Amino acid sequence: MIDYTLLEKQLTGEYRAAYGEAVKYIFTSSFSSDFTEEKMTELFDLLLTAQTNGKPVRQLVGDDPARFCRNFFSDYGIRERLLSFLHTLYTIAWIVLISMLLQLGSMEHPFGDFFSHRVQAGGFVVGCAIGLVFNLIVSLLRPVAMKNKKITTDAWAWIITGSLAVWIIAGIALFPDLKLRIPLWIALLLAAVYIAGYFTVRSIVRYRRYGTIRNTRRQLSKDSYYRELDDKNYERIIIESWVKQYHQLSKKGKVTEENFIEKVRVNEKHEKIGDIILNAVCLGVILVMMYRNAFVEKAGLTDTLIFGAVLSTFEFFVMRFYRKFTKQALAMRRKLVADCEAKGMTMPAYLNAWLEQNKVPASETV
Amino acid sequence: MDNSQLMKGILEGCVLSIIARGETYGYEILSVLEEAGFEDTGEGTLYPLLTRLEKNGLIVCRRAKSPLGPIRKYYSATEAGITGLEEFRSRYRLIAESAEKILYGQGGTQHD
Repeated sequence: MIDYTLLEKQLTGEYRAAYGEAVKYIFTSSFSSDFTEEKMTELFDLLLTAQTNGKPVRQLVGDDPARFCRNFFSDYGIRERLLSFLHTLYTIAWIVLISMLLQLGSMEHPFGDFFSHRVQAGGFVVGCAIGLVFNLIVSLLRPVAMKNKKITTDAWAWIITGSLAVWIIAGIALFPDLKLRIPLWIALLLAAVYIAGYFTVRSIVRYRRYGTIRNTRRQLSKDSYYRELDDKNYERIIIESWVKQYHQLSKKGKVTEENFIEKVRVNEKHEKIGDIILNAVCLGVILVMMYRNAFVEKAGLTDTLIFGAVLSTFEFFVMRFYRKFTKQALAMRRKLVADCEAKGMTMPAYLNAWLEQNKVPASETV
Repeated sequence: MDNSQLMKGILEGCVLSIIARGETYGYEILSVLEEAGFEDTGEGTLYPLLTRLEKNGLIVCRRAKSPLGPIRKYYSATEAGITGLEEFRSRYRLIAESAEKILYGQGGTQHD
């Protein structure tokens, strides 16, 4: 999802209020993400153009923002609904696939018992059924809730979360031991086939619509305008955390205006060491688990290797996800420090100048 | 009488006509409609209409950067759109002429 609040901040006054109304509308709707992003970028362009030209928002949106939203989002067609439903199943298929692979990894003889092993699917079926019923109820109640002005977006989110908790507890209480055992290889095959099928369908749909199989978020992040917004926001987070750190440390007399930059550099070094330790711990966990599997549980060599492979793949993806963010932050912090040095300013002066230069337009809405 | 019922078809023809003049985008279409005196278009009704025109193959949409930076959808008419517009024009003229005769008493049965 694009950071809608980031786009919202580029607008002021009534334009921001109108955009906020649409954000509220989509958060209480269950639109597909491609559809939402396409519509929200379109609305953003409309409002930004109006704001630049000084055209009153009333002429574009009318007197009733809720009616505007209903009309504006009314082209959410059957195809989008179907795709959105298939996407939910796609998420479920991934959960099935991963849990089946983990089961396979923890079996004593994954090869020998591949076709005979059965898995307990009772809880899973109950979970899916609850989810389906819950989804149905939410979509039925949503229009009613939207009409009631007292129910804010926050309140609606709490109602949804609260009632979901009630449903889950009710489900577990009603079916404590539903026994349903299905062969593992069938579950694995079905999940894999579905994932491949859905991926193909989605790629074709996207390619025909956008000329690329990338999702709308990826498409936008390639565009300089949105990337710059994103970068600026990231920089702001870093700058604000430094300002906070400086205030805390200078209050205690631990840094001066001149040597704060040194403190920042030391922190950077610590971060690097922390990263190395984290990597070592991750590797260590895999080795210890494999050792335990091989010598304590006395599993065979192949089983231990499969177990290690599954575990490593899992950790690899988690780490890759984590690294994507830390790498970006590291590069940005370096850039800011270098920029500060190039300008020959003290760090706190540089930070204040940055904040002054990148003031967020204040919301004038009521 | 409900304005929206009457407007639906006419608006579609007008929007197609605006797009047929040359590549344009949502804000511009809304401004043209508003200048011409159309009310109610500023209630989000234009966008589902654009989707419908696109689905029917009368217009195509291209995503590109706007001068302000963000991505904008630019619409232009297809061959089918140009033919569709001609058809709409002649149909509209026929209906308007017939309706005018009755509404403003230039023809048909007249009292007194």
